[in-house]
Amino acid sequence: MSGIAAQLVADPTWWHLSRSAAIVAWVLLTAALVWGVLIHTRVLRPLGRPAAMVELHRTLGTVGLAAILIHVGALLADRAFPLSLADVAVPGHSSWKPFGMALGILASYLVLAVQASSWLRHRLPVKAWRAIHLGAYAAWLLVAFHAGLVGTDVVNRAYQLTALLTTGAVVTMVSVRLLVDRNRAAPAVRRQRANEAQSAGTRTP
Amino acid sequence: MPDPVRAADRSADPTTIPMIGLRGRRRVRASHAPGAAAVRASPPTMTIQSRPRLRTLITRTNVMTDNRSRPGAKGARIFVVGLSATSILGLTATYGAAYGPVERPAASGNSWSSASNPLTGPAGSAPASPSGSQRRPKGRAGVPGGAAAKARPATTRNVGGSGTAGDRPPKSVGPAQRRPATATRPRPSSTTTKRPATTSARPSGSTSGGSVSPGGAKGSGGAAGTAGSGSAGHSSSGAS
Repeated sequence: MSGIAAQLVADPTWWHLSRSAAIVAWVLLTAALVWGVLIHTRVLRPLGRPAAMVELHRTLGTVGLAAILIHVGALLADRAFPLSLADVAVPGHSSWKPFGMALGILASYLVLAVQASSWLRHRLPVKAWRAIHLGAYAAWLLVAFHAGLVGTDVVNRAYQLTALLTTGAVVTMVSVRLLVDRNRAAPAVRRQRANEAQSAGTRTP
Repeated sequence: MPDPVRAADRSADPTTIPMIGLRGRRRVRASHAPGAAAVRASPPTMTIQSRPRLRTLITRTNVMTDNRSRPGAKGARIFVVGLSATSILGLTATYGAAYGPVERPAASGNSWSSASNPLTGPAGSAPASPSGSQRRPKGRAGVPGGAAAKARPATTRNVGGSGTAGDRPPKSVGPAQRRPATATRPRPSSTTTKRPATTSARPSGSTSGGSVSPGGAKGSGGAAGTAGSGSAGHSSSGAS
């Protein structure tokens, strides 16, 4: 083997780049999810226009998707870690930690679907867009498990802190969203029940 | 700024509709368009529902005006992209600083020379490992495989310190592992007695050292694996 080839094999830059991109993608997807919930709950309305907030939310998702692509591309480029295209594209194909890898692959597909639905939002029915968009929560969960099962830095303190912060933020935001949705739905439910009671009262002689 | 949709709702005169939209190549806001004051002052006689094309126009214009062309949104986009790129590059550099200098092979392609190999000790002495200790470690610290971390003594950097070594899949077979034990490799009985004290028995340019191991290139980490401390990874590092 020539010296250059040996150096390519031994060069850890691609591997480091892959790990860095994965962590940044995780943080960006978390930020996109948190930002989306904040937009949904209208907490950010005093800060600016909702359209600008949505644009930032979309940007976070797009850059997160780009970081995922960098993560996968660097894995493929790392010659010391012989992953094939099928290993990173087909869930369960990889012989190395197939379950964790499959979670990551599924998460990347979900993120891609969510992002594509955002780009095509005006061409999709609202219900379809919303259904696909809710997949972002599942994608984040898959990413978290993928990071915990496959992540090389799982014993690193900074990595653990990142996991803790992202998980805490997402759990908090999901709780807030559920509460807000319930509070918003409450008046409508009350009105519907009142209408039903009223109609029932008018029917009874 | 009044909402363009509401402003259009209040417009009494359909001729005022084109003011919301594009004038040349420049986007025009409803409030700044000519006739906007008249629209605001006009009574709300026309509803937007009665004019679907107008609604489409206003919606598109509103989105275009509010969303992408806003300087704030553009700045936020640049900020996110820049911060992400900086984070990725910074983390990569940090990883490189933490792990790179130890695992990176020498410029000639040889990672370990027998004179400097801490596993084999001083040149000419018997290697600490019966096999595989002189060849280039399979993996790197902090990357899957972890043979480097396992084979590295406790005196080197990153050995079990961060605990992140290892985790490279076992199929990561380095060049040393792929190379079979050649016929030119000296046998253990002869090398231990005939090898010069100052030179390596490894062929020049080869990453696999002149092992005195009976196991040849198929050896595992050997006894050197015990020299490392900390977690060296999850994967088994035995050579295939």
